[in-house]
Amino acid sequence: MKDRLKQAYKQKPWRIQIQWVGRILLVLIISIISIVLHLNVTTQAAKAGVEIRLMEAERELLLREINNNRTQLAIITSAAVMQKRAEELGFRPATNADIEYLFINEYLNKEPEINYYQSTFNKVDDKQIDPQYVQSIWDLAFSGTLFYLERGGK
Amino acid sequence: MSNQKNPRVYMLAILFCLMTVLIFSRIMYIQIALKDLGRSINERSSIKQKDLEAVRGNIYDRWGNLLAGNVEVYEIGVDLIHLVDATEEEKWDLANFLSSLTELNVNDIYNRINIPYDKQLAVFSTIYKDAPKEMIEKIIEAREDKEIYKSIAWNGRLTRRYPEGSLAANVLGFYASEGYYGVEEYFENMLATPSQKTEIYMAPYDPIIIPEIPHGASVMLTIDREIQSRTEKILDAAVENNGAASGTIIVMDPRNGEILSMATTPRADLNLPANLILSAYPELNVNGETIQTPFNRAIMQTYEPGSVFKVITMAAAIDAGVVTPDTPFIDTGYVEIYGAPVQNWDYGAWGPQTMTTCMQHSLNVCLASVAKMLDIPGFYSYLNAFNIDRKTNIDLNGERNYPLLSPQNPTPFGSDFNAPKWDERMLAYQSFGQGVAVTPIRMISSISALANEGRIMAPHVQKAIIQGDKIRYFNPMIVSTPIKPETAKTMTEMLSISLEVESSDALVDGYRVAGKTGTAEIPTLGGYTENLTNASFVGWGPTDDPEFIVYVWLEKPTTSIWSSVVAAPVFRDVVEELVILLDIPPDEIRMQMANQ
Repeated sequence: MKDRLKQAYKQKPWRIQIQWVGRILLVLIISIISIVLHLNVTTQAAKAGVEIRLMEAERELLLREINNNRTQLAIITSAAVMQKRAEELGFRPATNADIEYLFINEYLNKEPEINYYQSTFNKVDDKQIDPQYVQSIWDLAFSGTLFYLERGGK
Repeated sequence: MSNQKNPRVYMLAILFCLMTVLIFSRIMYIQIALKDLGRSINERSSIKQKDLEAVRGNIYDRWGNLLAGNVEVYEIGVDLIHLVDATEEEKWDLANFLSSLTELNVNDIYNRINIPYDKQLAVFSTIYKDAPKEMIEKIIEAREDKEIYKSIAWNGRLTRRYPEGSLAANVLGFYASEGYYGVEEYFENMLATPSQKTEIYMAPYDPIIIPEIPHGASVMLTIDREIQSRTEKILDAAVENNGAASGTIIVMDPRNGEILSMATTPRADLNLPANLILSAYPELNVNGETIQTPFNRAIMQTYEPGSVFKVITMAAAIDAGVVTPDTPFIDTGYVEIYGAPVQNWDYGAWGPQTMTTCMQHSLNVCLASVAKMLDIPGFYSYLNAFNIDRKTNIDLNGERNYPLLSPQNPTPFGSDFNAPKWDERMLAYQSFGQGVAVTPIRMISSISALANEGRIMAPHVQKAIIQGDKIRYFNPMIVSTPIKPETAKTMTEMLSISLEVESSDALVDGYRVAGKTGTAEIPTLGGYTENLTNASFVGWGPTDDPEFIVYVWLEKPTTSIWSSVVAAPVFRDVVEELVILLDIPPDEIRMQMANQ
């Protein structure tokens, strides 16, 4: 079999050239696919990174806006403003003579209402984003390898 | 096809190999030999320092009304790089636009935008700080029209704002880079969290979560915004109508020590810059000393309370069993106690009295005699039990106290001949509120024992601390139990009868209240003044189950020197509002409801 192949190559030397071209093309295609894949993943990661940065900036703006709106709301509902508005609407402060007291069993007194903002904080030392958004194809390939290598070593 | 090897191919291959080696060695050189340079270039271009500004915590009243919050303001400036190629005409146009917007001098603005661009030293020129959002909206609108306006840039940040203006200014204090006075200073460590710096990676494929530092905790106060607002109005009117130098009203719940309202004069608008706030509290010359007007008189100014102090003397005597409300007393209009001559406020003799009428007529001779019955150890042990000698430790910054001259502390100011010092005669004077100086918060806190079955609760303005989604409520604390519950009830009844028999201006229709006036001459370097007094009133109610205690102090009223004329009506006005705002029905209806 081996001799027959040698014989075939001797008779048709272009077969060797085709074999080389095939090998080179294979390497080239694999390289191009790897590069495209790498570029694609990197581009996606970069795009996600930019989006994350924009969202962080928006989050910061929103946080300020929430604080601002809460205070603005308090300004337009302040005691002085509300009293003035009530007077303009024809109300006057109640006196004891205006009040009729009723006995209501198990009456619950009013409770404070606080419209405070609850935040889930990003801690200062918690800077990492989920790796799947930032991993390159290289990281992806080798982190898995290392993981299995580590597991195998134990 | 020939099998002969072409030497040119070998040459080319060798050349490629050499180039590869060259490139590789260069890469290695940059990576290893120029490692530090590469790292610094990378850090400069991809890592930036970011200041993380903490959001200062809010301050709420007891019902969740915001008393101190934060609003968004902007720092406006110009990016100088955009002005490198700008013409003079364009620069003046920009300066005029910014001047019309900010009302700053156009030449000053021109000088600022005319700074030459320098990549290292001058990239941004600040024009205006603390601009409101409306100003930014106008800029955004104008940027559509002219290209040069696109050089205007701004940065937002939060700044402190007090939605209620001057309301409860004395309690809140103010913020100017840090908290000053009141709640802002006392709770500084809770309201503020320190700012931090962090590194931000600018490479888009290397993103990180921008960290956020926790907000400062918010403080919920025991102050009731409506009660505070009404008491301030009443106080301002009382000070003006009576020509008083200043005034103070404190409203407290004696059952738990919660301060519902603390109104004093003057009160600055807390939204003004710090220097203007402080200018509302000018320096005064008092007895040759320059002192600044207290930011919160209720806790920062001591004064001789006068006859309201008799409440403590009489409570001590009844609690010790020395007298009862009906113990007879013959008032001769003059008595000497350890050599100290004592006369009544009208220099008259009131004849046969009981302890109740002694309080009703506020007789110095009677009260000094009662103190003598208690004698020095008894009297001062009660003053200690009422905590007269110490601060209340209210959770507000700047509380003062004046050392109590007593046998335990006879020379608090040293042994100098002219320094105030204690001797036995002080017993007589202190029994009716002279020779003793206290703050209004000290007085209301000590006397609250009479309205709370003998217990003094720690006075406080903090109702709760809110951190994230957690609320931690303040637990009321008993700080002292100077008298028995029966004594407290007896005194309350005595002082109710006193007001009723006297037909006091402090009486409130439909409600039984207990109270005591106090008119005190003011000590100066040349002795006590004759025409200037401190007029005080302390009262609580409803008598059968006290829910509030009110302390009124008018300093140097000019329409009348008498507390019964100037301070008692203020108490009535406050209570008329209080019973509505606290939902306290008139006694008759309350009894009917209790029986249902």
